[in-house]
Amino acid sequence: MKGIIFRQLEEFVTKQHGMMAWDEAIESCDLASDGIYIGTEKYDDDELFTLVGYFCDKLGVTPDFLVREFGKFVFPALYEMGYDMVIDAQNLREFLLLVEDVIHVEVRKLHHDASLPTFDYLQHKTKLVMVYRSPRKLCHLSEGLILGAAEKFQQKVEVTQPVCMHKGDEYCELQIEFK
Amino acid sequence: MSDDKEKLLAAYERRYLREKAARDKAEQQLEVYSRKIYASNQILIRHTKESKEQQLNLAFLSAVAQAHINNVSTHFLFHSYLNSLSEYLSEGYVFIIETIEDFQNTENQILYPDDLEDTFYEYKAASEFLMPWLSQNPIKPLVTEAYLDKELNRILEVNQYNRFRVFLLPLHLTQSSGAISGSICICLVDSSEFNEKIKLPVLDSSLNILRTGVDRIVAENSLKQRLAQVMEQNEQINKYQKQLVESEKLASLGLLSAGVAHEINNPVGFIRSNADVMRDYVTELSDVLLNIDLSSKENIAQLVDKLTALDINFILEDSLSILDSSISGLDRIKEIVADLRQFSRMDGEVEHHEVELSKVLKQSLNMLHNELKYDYQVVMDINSPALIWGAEGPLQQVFVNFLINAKQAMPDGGKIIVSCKLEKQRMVVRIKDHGVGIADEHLSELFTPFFTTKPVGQGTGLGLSISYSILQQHHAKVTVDSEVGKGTEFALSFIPVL
Repeated sequence: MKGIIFRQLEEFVTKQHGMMAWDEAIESCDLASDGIYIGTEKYDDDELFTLVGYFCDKLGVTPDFLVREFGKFVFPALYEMGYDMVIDAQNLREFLLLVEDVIHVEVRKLHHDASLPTFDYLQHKTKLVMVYRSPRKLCHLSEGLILGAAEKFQQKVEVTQPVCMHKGDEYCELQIEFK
Repeated sequence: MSDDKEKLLAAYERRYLREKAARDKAEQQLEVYSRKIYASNQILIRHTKESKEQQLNLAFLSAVAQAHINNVSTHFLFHSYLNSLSEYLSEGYVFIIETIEDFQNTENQILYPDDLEDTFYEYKAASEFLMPWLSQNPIKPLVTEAYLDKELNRILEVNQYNRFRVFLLPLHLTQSSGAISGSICICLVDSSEFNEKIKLPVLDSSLNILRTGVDRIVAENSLKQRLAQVMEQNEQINKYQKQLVESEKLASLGLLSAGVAHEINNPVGFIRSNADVMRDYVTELSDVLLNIDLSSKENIAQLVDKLTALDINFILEDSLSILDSSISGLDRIKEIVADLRQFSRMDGEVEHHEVELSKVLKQSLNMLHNELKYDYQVVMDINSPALIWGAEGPLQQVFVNFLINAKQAMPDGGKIIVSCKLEKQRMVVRIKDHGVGIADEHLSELFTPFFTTKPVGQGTGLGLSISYSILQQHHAKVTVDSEVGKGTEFALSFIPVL
């Protein structure tokens, strides 16, 4: 997992619960990096899962909820970073269709070691299905990011996952219903 | 200080230490990135330079190869090679020492690139300076260095410590290229830009291309010469062929002349005797008519008596029939002469037009009428119209030839069947005899010139070979069906005009 995600997680936690909450998490979890994160570096995925687990216990929420909320929070920062690539996208659908073939391609140019999920698209008149595949099973992060994007494009949506790896399926189907 | 504040302070301190550690790491990372970028830049610069060099190499090689397509002489090829080379090695002087050998002495000629203008003197000085020891060993590749003499230093505007690097690359042309030999000479005053490892193999390849080009030109020129010779021979053959056709025609004419003369003689004979009879009739009538005075009535009765005594009715009737028979005799002569003229036309009629085969066959039979009239029975089964594209004279010659052969195959007479019919989209003429037939071993030689089984003095052996060549001009196919002792059938199939 790239350092930028940890930095954003720190930002997310600090904003919601204060600097002490993050500090306590770093002190309590036994992390290989000692909580020293640089945006461009790559860190063990387990560090993220450890931190998520810690916060879920602490706040009494499910990992799905926490990861989804984090996705919503982190979207504006990521959008800012990649704005040039998606300048042509006029609405949410157009933007989401650019994720696999434009955004991920550009991300790989900068971070050739990045492990990104893959998306296949199924287009319908009033909805879009994004088929998510990744060994990390962070489909809920994608859900949060989509919700963040919807907010950015001021589009009301409902995101559901009738098919999900967390339910034992081989892949996840993120169904985005445009309202 | 309260506990909370101490805790907050401690947390800030830890945060500060984490941030500092992160910053140190980031700076280190930055240094690593910078070094990587520098290294990639260097590689990029090197690759760019190499690819530019490769581009030049390719441009040079393709220019050398291109020159092959346009050049028709080895001399021009050398020149164009030299021009490409001088452009490619802009840092050096390049020229070709061409060695021209004849049985007495060997002469070296220097070829310079075109458009030297201002630098011509430099080239000349450089080549003359190197000439004496370059010509000592013109067949081995040579890489050597030489100090320049003062005069050359002055001309080339270089200091006295400068050395020439000299590359002498022999042309090594193959034996087929004849007497051309020589070397490509490259002289570098400043060789710092000359990457030997890359450029020498390129030069080697370019020389191979040049050699191929020279070989191609030499081969092409010799091919052209051969082609011209073959065409000349072909023309000669055509001329002989025409002469042969004419002589064969004359030979057949000789064979036919006795018969034709007889054919003409017959009507001439009876026309002559008809004329005698007519003369007698006229004499008798004049005796009666001129010796009588028709002014008296008694004389008229006397005249009637005399005319009755002469059998005037018979005379008048017979005169008409004599004149009719003479006219038909003259027509017959006219026909024979026309056929003969057709047959013997010496202008080598070649222009093809629509020809009625049945007419030509009948003319041919007319020519042979006398030959065949006693012991031979000619059965004709000719469907007209039988139009083909061809020339009448030559075709008549062919048919006469086949008919003569049929007759000669049956020395004691017999039946000759001539048919002309449309068979499977071809107009087929069949000439069949019931003669001696052709032995199997002779079948393959039927159309060979001068092949004959007839006794010396009776056949030229050219008849069928000439007929065959005439039939070929008519795109006709010839097949032979023959059995010894039973007879022979020739089938000539023409493309009909539909």
